[in-house]
Amino acid sequence: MNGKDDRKFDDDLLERAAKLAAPVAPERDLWPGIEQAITVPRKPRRSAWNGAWAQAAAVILLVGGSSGLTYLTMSGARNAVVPTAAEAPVLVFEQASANFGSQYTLGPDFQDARSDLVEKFEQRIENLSPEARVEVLANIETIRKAIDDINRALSREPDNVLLQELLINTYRDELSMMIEVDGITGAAMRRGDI
Amino acid sequence: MQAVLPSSTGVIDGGVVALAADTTFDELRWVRRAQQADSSAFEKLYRANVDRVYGLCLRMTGNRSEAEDCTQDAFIQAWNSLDKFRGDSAFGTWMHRVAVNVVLGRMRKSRREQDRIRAVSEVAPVRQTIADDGELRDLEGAINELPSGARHVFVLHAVYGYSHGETGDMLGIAEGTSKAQLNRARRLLKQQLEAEEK
Amino acid sequence: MKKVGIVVLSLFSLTTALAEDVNEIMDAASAGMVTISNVAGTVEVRGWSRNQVEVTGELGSKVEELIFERDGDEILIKVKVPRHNKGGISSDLQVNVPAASTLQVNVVSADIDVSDVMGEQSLESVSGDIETAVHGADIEVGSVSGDIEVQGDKKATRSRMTTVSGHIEIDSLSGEVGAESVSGDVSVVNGSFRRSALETVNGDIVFHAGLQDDGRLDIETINGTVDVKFDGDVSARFDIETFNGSIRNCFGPESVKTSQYAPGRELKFTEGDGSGRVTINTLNGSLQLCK
Repeated sequence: MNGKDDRKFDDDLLERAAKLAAPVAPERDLWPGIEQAITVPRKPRRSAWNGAWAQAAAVILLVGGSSGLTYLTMSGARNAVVPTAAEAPVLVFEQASANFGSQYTLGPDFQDARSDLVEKFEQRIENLSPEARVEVLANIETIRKAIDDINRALSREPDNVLLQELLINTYRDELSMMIEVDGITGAAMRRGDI
Repeated sequence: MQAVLPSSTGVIDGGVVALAADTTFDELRWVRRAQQADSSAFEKLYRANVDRVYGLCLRMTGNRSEAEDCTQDAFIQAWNSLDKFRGDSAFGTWMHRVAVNVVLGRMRKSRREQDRIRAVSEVAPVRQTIADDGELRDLEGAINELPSGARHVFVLHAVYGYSHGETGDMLGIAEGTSKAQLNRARRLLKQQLEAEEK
Repeated sequence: MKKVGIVVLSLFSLTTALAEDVNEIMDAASAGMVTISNVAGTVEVRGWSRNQVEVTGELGSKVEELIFERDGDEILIKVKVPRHNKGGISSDLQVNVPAASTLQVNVVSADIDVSDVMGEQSLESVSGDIETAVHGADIEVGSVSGDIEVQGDKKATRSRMTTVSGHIEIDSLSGEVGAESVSGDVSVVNGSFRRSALETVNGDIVFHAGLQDDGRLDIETINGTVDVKFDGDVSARFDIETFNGSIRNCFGPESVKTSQYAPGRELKFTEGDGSGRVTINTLNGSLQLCK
């Protein structure tokens, strides 16, 4: 391989490489995910609890979808206008200070929204039958225990990305569950049947 | 790509700042509004720059799905640190830097290194190419196969034309290292491309 | 809005202890919305070819009234019971609706059974079991402790199923599906998906179906087991991680430890041209991946 061949190859290579600098449009619009991450999430208004899809919208606003599913709008009475679920979660995890170990805490917006929901939820489940209420409470316990397990693992491995993701998603599951139960129970209450 | 001598001037935050020749007044307006948390102005910046950012992310990661994530993260990070943009380079150039940071950050975070994947699977992972031209596609594929250090340098220097000094700066490596990585990239690409010709 | 056609049955059943038979029929829009509300008992809905809604069945002795009214292209069927439920309210309703109707059913403990309805469906119960068939329209089904069974005909739709502890079984659906439960199991068999997101905290997850090219399968569970077996070829990047569980992979590549000093295994590889994406994350559950 002589020097001249090498130089020719190099020139060709650079010429070709420069062509790859052309801008490339992504296959889908990425703006919704970005917009969601940069706009401050609103607290769900109390009047918005109707229909599972409106609930899903509230969950999305708070925590963001994690799988890119497109939610549907139904024609007819349900007036929930649902945004496309975005990939990027809205939650930002901040590592607690070293004094308290590496326990992860949730951002203040999320904490506020969650306490709102927990309060409403606890009132709501009073209206369920005893069996249903016991079932629901047992499942809340299941979720909270899972959160504890994950946090315990995280305290030993605070940088573990899998654990961080699982933790966010389990908090989201708790939120979704409360919203779902609230919605189903609320619909029953509005019917005056319970 | 150094900031050129100002051919126009503009105002940011009350001061007079020299603008790079390819920053438009529109862009400056949007930046100012976005700095005041106007997300629709930021959307305009997004629309004007997403293809450039995505292109860079795609070249750096070799993977559409990661490039999408990288692009989103880059704009989110840009929004969060918009106050640091002083207008002395084109917004697009600044976004390139942000995007490179994101790529490096994501790599560290995910622990996914080219070499590790090679060890796990017997077949090298298939990366994605998008060029129409067969020759370009070969080159694209070959770049995607480079180890990450060489690939990053090759993309920034040979594809995007940043100097070794700028490349080193963006990647957090010495200028000499950048040159060494470029040579390595050239050697590996030559091997790969000539092998394919046979 | 102008109300057209109201039929209200009032039952004065304070002294009698007998259930009341129902047999009513009303003209309806061919593709309108039908909303059915019951507390306990059963609700069976069948799509038919007439532009009418028919309600037959038996109302519990303490039921105050059955509302059956039409407002434009919407029909409401509702079992009204006394505020303080002292029993005797269990009602069995059989409802025939125009096949193209959009259907909403809300119950507390009644079981729901729907078939031959071509329009969109929204079905909710607290503890009743829900069974439905889907024919190319979107559906959402939610329950606290009731089990959910959905039968598709392989036409692409978007569907979402959520329970707290009920089990979810999905057969022959296609398109996009989301299924979540806290402690119920989730099972998706047959059909082929462009997007599938399955999540539980404790429930086990089974996916024995096809993944389309460019498709996405996202599975996450904290303590449940995961059993994935693809129908047909799959072309995807696989990204699988578990903290404490084991991974068994039929596709070849073995999992590797994520760190020398801590538990955790990961498995990343590509099958076919890598156009799709399969992501599986678990904390403690064991995981099996096959074709």
